[in-house]
Amino acid sequence: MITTGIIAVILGLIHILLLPIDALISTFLPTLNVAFNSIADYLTIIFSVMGWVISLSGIPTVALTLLIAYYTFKLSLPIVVWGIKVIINWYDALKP
Amino acid sequence: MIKIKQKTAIVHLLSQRYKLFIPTIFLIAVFCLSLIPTQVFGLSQNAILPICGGGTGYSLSTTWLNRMVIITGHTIEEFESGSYIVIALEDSTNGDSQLIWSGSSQIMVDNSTTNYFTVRTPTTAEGFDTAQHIYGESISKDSAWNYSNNDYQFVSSAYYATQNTYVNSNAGSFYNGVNSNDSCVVAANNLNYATGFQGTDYSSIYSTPPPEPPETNLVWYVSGNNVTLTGVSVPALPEESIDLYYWWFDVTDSLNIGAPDVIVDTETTGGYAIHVVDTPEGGYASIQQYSYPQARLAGGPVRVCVSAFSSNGNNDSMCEIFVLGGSGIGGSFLDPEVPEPIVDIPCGTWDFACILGQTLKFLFIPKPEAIEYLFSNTSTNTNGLESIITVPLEYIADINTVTCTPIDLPLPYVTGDITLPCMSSNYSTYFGDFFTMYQTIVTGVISYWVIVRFLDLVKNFKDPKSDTIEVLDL
Repeated sequence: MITTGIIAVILGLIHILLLPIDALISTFLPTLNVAFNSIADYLTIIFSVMGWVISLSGIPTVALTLLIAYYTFKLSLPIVVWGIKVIINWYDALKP
Repeated sequence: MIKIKQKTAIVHLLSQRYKLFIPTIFLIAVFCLSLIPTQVFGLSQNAILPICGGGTGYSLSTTWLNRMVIITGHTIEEFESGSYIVIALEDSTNGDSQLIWSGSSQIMVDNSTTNYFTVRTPTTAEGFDTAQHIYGESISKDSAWNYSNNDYQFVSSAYYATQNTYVNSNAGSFYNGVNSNDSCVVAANNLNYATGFQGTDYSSIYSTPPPEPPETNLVWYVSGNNVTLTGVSVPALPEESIDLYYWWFDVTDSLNIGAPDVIVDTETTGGYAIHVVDTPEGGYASIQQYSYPQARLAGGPVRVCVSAFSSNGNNDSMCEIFVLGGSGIGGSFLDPEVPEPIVDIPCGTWDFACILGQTLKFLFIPKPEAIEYLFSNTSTNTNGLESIITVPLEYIADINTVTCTPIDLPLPYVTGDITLPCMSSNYSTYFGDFFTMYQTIVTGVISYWVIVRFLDLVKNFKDPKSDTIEVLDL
């Protein structure tokens, strides 16, 4: 649940970041937008069989959840830690 | 100084010396299993349904598994424009096609309240076991309704998908997970045996019918900006039981949000689903609620999810009500005799309540989901660059709840498709304890792998000089 929440946050931030870019592309380069959409459609097709592949592999849900949680943690929380370290370094450098 | 590396011998063996051993064995096993005819498993049946919405010549890809039928390959316009469909089964032993009139039925009411889609399911599991082909048949509206009213009970779930319609994390239970502009989906389950979701092997559970449901009344009505929900009493469920439970409520005083047409479960674990089926007369709806084993085993909080489409069925008018039992398993609600505003129900775990125009939208979601909800309205862009990034992430977020859908592959110059069935249930059936051992070992290896790397990650945090950072390579 927390994992999906973090991913939702990431998705929201991506949306905020890419919304103007996508708007420009769709306005001035519509064919490129179609190409991007085709890639997304292709990915959708690929991922639509994900359930079948998981069933084929027999990997239990617990293990999958653990993997997803780990990678979510690995790719998100270090950014926060890194940011805190940067702030501390700045403070150390600037303090009288 | 001698440094002892974190890698143990087994990891070393797996990663170096025998790094191709396990994948090779796995691929060989998969290949061998794929040679077994699907009919051995008795799970995969293909059929051509002549209708989905009254037309002819449409190819429906159907799959019966655990009393669920999924019909795809049709636009919602086709689906809505037709009249009625009755599903019947063909007995593989004698080739006779037989309409299944006994047992439960499923009626799906579209938003116009003028067209109905009826699916009838057999009472016994044997009926499905012998089913090889499925046929659809149009019947008149009155006939469909009368049959259902007089002879059958409404059961469990019905869901049909429209473009940009309500798709939730548990949609896989009722929905094939594909963009549904070109599909219609119907899920039908057997009342007598509660429910079975596609891709889940409930065969062992079906051997024992579930206990009788508790009877209670749910009164749910809207007056101005107030919503009243009362009469719900969720009994405590046994901790260790994997039995399926279901019960139902009556809804009186129809909601002022349009017909509560179709109710779908919105949660994956810790969930109950209430399904509302409207009647031609309106003003009365039957709610059926059930839980399923995953919810019990997950040990999540009791959740009652109600959602409905209003008359035009679009997202804006979608109504959702989530009632979360705050006491964990077996949450309780108000005294049925004392109607109270829903916001005063002492479960205390909901966060949002809002009225959108003339439609009703209530979201009572637990706090871990609150932040997800805040971004939910901003992460729906399916165009452009964003879609390339969001599509994998959205699937990854749902990876632990995704359900398997058998894959139908068309063959050239051959009538019919080849179906690749979901294998997990077959593994359980035919390999039993060995499959359990395999899953245990896989879980252990993955857990070990994750823990080692997690500790290594934490160790790096402790290094104040380390400024390395790993980000998702987009």
